[in-house]
Amino acid sequence: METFKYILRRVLQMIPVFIVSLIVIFLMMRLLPGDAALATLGEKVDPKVYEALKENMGLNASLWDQFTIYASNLLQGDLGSSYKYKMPVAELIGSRMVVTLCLALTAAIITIIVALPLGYLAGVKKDKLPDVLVRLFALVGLAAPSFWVGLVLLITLAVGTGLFPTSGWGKDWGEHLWALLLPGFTLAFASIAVVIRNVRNNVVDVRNADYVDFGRSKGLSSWVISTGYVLRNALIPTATLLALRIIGMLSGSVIIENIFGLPGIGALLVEAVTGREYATVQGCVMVFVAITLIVNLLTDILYSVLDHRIQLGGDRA
Amino acid sequence: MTSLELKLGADPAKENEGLDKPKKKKTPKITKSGKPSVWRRSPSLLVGAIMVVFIFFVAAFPTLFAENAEKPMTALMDFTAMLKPPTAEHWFGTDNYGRDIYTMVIGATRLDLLIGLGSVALPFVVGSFLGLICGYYGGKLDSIIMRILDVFVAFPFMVLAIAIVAIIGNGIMNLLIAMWIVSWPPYTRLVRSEVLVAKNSEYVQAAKTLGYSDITIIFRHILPNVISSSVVYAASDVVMCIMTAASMSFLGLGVDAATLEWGSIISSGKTYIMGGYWWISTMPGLIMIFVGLGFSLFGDGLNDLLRTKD
Amino acid sequence: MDKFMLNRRGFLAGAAALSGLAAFGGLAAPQFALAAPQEKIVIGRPVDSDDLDPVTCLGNINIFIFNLIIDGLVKTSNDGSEIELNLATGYEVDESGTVWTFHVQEGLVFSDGSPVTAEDWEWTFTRAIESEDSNWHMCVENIDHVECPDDTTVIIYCKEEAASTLANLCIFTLGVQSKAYFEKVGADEYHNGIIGTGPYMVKEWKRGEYLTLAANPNYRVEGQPYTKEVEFKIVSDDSARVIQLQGNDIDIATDLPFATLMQLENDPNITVQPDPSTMVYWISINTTREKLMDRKVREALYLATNSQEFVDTIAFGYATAASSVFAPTSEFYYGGLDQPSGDIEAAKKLLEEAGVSNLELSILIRGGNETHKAIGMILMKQWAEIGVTVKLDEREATSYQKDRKDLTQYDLIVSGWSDDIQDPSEFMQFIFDFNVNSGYYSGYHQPEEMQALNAQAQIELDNEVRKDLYAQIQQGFRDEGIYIPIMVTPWCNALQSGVTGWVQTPLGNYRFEELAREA
Repeated sequence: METFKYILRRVLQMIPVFIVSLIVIFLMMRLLPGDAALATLGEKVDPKVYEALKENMGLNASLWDQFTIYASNLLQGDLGSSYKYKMPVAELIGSRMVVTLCLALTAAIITIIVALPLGYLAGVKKDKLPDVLVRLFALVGLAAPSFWVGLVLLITLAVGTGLFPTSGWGKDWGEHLWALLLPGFTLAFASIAVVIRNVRNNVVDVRNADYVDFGRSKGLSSWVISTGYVLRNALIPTATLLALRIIGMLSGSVIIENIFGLPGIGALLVEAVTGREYATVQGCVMVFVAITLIVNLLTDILYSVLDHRIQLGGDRA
Repeated sequence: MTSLELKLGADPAKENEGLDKPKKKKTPKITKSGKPSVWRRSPSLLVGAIMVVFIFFVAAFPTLFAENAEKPMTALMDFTAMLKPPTAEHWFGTDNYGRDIYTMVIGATRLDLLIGLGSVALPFVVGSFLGLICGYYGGKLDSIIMRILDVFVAFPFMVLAIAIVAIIGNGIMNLLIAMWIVSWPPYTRLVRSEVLVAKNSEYVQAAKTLGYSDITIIFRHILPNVISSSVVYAASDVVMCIMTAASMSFLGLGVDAATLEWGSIISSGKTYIMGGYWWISTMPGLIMIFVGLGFSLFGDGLNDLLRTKD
Repeated sequence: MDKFMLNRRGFLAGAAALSGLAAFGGLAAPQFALAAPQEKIVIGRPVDSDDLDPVTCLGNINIFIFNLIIDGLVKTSNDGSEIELNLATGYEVDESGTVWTFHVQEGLVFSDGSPVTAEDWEWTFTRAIESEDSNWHMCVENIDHVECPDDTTVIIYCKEEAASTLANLCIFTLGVQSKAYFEKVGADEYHNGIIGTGPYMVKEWKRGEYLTLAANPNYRVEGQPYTKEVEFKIVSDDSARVIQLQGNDIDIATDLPFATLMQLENDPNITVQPDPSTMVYWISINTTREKLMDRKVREALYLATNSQEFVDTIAFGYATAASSVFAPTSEFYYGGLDQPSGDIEAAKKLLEEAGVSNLELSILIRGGNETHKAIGMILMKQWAEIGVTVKLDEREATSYQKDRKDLTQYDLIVSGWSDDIQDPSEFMQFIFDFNVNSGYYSGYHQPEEMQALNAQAQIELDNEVRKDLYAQIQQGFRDEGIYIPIMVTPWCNALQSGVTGWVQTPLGNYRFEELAREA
């Protein structure tokens, strides 16, 4: 019951944050110099055409009018439509979201495949050579800028070799998967580093814990100990960390999609900011904010479920 | 479940290094007995400190490492030596204006370091201060600031930075402003969570009974005990800020083309990768990794050090 | 290191010689179909079209395609040098020069098989004329109305006599479209594709991924187009287009960076084809700035500039140094001007005479535009020689769009123009009508004599006289010293060596009637 009340309170807290975020992005877009009409016109701007286009796009309405139109449409589930793509923003985001979610998923899977064994190895071999090497690798992962990693992967594995596509998303799921590998790895790179360090430290701490000693004293085989106790206990906190990384990956997708020419929501967002496509930006940010809030909520709940000792509804922000 | 709590509450800076900002975590102090010398206890700190000092040295005296590093941009251009691969003469090769990339990279160190430190300084101070206030007083003020903070962290970091730079324009100062706006929340959260623990501690209770003013308690008694995680976080944040700034330049939203900055050098080489001119984009990244390693090791070491204090 | 000749008569020959193939394509195409042409040709381009409604669309990425789908009464020739009849078989002009009567081919049908009627012609023209917010309205502004007494006669009533009438009639908004189709699908759906009489028709369009055109089964020329399907595939990354071209995934790559063209020269299977365009880059000098009001200072800047160095450095020789804001492919280009060639001594002397030293100038740059950026960088280097400091002021793309309209924001600006019609009248309006963009961002009000020359050139029907008028105008710009010409860039295309019949006109239009590749 207490848990339920806590979740309810958190959800209620989220609503104003969500609304304020929408208002903030609405205002921020209007603060940007220039407008969509100007952005679409390109090199030749005939003032007459510009004025007509502005009128046509509803940009001459007052800020308040624009906001009430936006808000009332939003309440009816209408996110507006993209001038550039000539389609409803909801539809546009839907099609782009698939790409970004697949990218994040690929990155998450790569992170798990690479980071868990390495982190575990480092933890088990604490302060021995494998540990030092893995930790060094993790440090490099933290230090290398992701766009640089992306470019290096492109140069070494795609350009000239043709092993991987350098850009684009392909036409069928086979091609999609292939196209996602390099960007997925690039996006995973920083996460791998964080997760390795986390898993390693967890494994080290769990191995030092009382109940592992207890297991040993009872004569359990080291394999049972490692899988049964160490791994399981070490991985629970890592799971929450991974969930949090999803938010980092969404943010990272903005750059990665740009480098690899993936038609995802991050690339759409950058394009829409440059093109002053208010509706598209508002829609994209809304999705980003919603995902962030939900992931935050889920990790908080996960925490509280995993460790009853964390006081629910206490001091958490 | 003793260990689990330790894990969950392990150092936030450690768990959240990387590109996103941390969630608030409890940070219990792990006390270890015995006090060997600082450097012996933390070899990372030693190596990290040496690397960081070296980077500062390069930033202070770039001409010692590349004689032309402080010459004006026009003097670096040499149209007769365009796009030359790395050789003994040009260690990192030259770019499409015939500029020596090694010289550019060395010349950019000061600015990038400035961006990294500059981006961290203000959020560190302001964010930590807000954390102190929120944690200590709680109540309405705390709720309001925390909700504002929620809005800030609800936006993806990169997106917010891009929008801000698009609004206020390119340039180093504006880039810093964007970094300030997006970087403060982790400090507030870290400090606040520590204050919540500290304010119930015996020494604070004692200070209250003795009738010390809030200000004295906050700054004399609480601050020194809660700031360590912020300091540790700041060390890794410097790297993140350098990388974010470089990412912004990479997207064309950072410094202008005539200002040397690592991200913009990498970005300018993008067009030439396909022509086989791989070195423009790759070589500056090596320096960034070196700097990143230095600060990360330094931060790790600092973490070890501060965690083991009594 | 000129990689090709930008002389409009010589360019096809030049391009063919470069590729090492026999003369083909364009006007000189031999009349035969290939033994076994490939069924489908894939063209990799960086950006997708966004609107295939000719009236509402913006941007080259749409308009280059229209010649494939719709035909007008007349069209520009493949080399851009003249205007040819297209669907019209002939025309008469009345004595006032305002009533143009066109005779249209008999038995024309749209790609859907329906006949082209008087109603379609009238609707197409009327829609273009009445859409005043269309970006292309400038081209039809002079048309008052049209009458189509029967399916093969189009009578155009102009407001005034104008030399550019025929060139303006080439605009794609006047390519005949099926009214019935528009009414059937409605204005919203019309953005996704139109029905015309061109060699191709829209088959499938997955936005952001590809646009496939299929051969028009009812095309009026027997045996054309040679290739059954043309796919425009979006490969946004430059290097990806190169790789896909080299990997034979695509047959043609467009909009390649100059650096990659140079690299592709070494590939025996690839033909690098920089087709001449009308894209001219120049620096506009803001004459409202006090330090730039003195013509001597502007002249010094002109002399200190070395346009060939831009060609060699930015375009790796694939462009030509400019000496006018007109492109050399234009009929009205005046070749008698000196190109900026880096005369440092003369420039220094002029600055001294003007009593100017330590001049500091900021140049406004469009963010993310590599060419703009490179022009700024090289200018910085060149002008440092005469002691002028240039500061690059790079602004995010749309902020730049806004700020360049404000003369208080910059000293210099990188400008560029490419023609939409084969006539300078549209371009000249951007320079002479101060309200459009303040004298192409120079802040310079053209004096009366220049205005008079331009007004006369607009209506002069004798081409030779007209050429002379535009020569005087170009000389005038040179004397005013408001623009520093930099370079003329080509369309940077590269093809598989087996591809024949590739045509991109200087105006940018694709013409694929004879495009083919041996299977």
